[in-house]
Amino acid sequence: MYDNLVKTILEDTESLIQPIYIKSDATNMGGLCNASLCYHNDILHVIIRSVEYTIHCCEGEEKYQSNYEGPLAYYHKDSDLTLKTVNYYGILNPDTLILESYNKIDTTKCDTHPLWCFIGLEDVRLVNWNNIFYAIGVRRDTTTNGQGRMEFSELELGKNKVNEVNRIRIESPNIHSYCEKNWMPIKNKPFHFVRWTNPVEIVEVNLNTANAKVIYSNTIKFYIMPYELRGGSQLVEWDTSSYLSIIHECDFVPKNFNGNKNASYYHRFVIWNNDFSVKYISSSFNFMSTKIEFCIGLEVIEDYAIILFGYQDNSCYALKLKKNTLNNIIWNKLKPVS
Amino acid sequence: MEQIKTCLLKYIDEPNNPKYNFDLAYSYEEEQQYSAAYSFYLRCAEFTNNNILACESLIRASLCLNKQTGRDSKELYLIKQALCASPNSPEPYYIASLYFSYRSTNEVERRWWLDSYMYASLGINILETTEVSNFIHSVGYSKVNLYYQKALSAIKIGKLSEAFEIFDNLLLLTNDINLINLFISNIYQLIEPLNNIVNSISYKKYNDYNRFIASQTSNEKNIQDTNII
Repeated sequence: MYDNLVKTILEDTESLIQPIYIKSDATNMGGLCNASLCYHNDILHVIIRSVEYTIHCCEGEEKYQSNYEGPLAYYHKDSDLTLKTVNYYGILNPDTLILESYNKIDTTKCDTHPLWCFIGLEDVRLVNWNNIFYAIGVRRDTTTNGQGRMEFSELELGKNKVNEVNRIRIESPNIHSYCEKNWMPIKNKPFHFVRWTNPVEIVEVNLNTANAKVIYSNTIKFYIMPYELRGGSQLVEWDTSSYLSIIHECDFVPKNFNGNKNASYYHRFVIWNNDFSVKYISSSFNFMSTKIEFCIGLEVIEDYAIILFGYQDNSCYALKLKKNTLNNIIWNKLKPVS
Repeated sequence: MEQIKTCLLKYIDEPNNPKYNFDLAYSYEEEQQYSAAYSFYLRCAEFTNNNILACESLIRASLCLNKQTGRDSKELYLIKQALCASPNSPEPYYIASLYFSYRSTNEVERRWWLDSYMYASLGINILETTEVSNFIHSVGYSKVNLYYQKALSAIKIGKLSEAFEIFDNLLLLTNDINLINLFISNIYQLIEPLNNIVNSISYKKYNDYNRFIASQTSNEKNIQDTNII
């Protein structure tokens, strides 16, 4: 595992990192994380997840564990066990990565009474397909058992407000699946997603029927990986014959010495052929040397790649680097050990 | 924002450096980004070998939770962790005392004044018996504040004469006219109830008994002195 990739990225003096945050009165003082990007009509649109909890994430010797949950705990309100997510839509300056404007997405038109403890649309990927902005994420509050399904949240962008005007819950190709999440949109293929990476499964969503159909699958694993490869960023065109995405994997410990859960997250770059077969999977890395990170934001604008990632669900960062630099990192620094 | 960026770049250069984690956390806290600050305070505590820095980080992490409201049990747990990290620092005792006094009311289930008094007393004991370096950034602690905290909680648990004595002594510890006025006002408030106690039958019995013991001791001493002569 390659530690602290951001340090390597910043060795190129043309690279840039910017903390992303919103004034605390607007976010109820919770964490900002897991942002996604969509460059459309020369504007870099961004969706930022705001969570009401703070993650308590012990590192090193893990000396200062939480009272009831050990080294990794959601610090929600004592009297409210729910984990709430709201989302902000904003515009990022593509040169400076500074958040120039933002609005909380008003979901009141489509909201129903939540039935489970994870409330809200989580880890939203923003796309613009057929001139409509969709925030696409997983929602787990519509059933009493926390069943997760991908939902399309149609957005109407106003000058000083952003409204959710329609919400469509997509049934899984496997209707018995408990939780569908982290489907990766293929930016230039409307309504197409990578559902699984290793082996590959691509689905196409039909909004009229609210179903997803498998249109490509491969039964052969690219590599034998130590952990299951899970979804991440959207797929963006990398060169004329390939796509790039960032995926994640999780080393999850269900019960440690004291019976508490623990986890470490790693990421990998995946290069895809035009036919959606996998061309290359990099070795794993973390961004800023911590256990819990999550990346769903990737965009390419001219000669630059822009990456957004969340740090322990408590903060959010934007990175910008030259495509050449990233290419060099992917193929050399992150070359898998054979 | 600029301060966060400056601290962030140092952190990226050495992510396990406790001081860089602390500085980044503090810069986030200054911008009221309490969740972000929390991450880096906790990392600082985990990575440092300096018990006082660990203690300060954990206390500041507890203050970040405090700002987010509604997380009292987690806040207290961090304060206790901070006390364990540096039991010779007076600051966590002061914060613990505040934690309980802020939340105490006259309702039966919320009368935590003894906890507040206890932590203030423990902190004063540390203050009077050991010498450790202070926190990098103020958490509102001062010698005067710690004594004041003890006096206030002492009143609530009925130790009126002790509170009177602390306020009286506090007058010698400061030149701040506002504080002096505050202490005097507290003393005035205590005079009447103290008089009530002094006039009570119970207090008179207690006083008579003590006078009797004192006179007995004095007689015994006189006898001993006579024998020596």
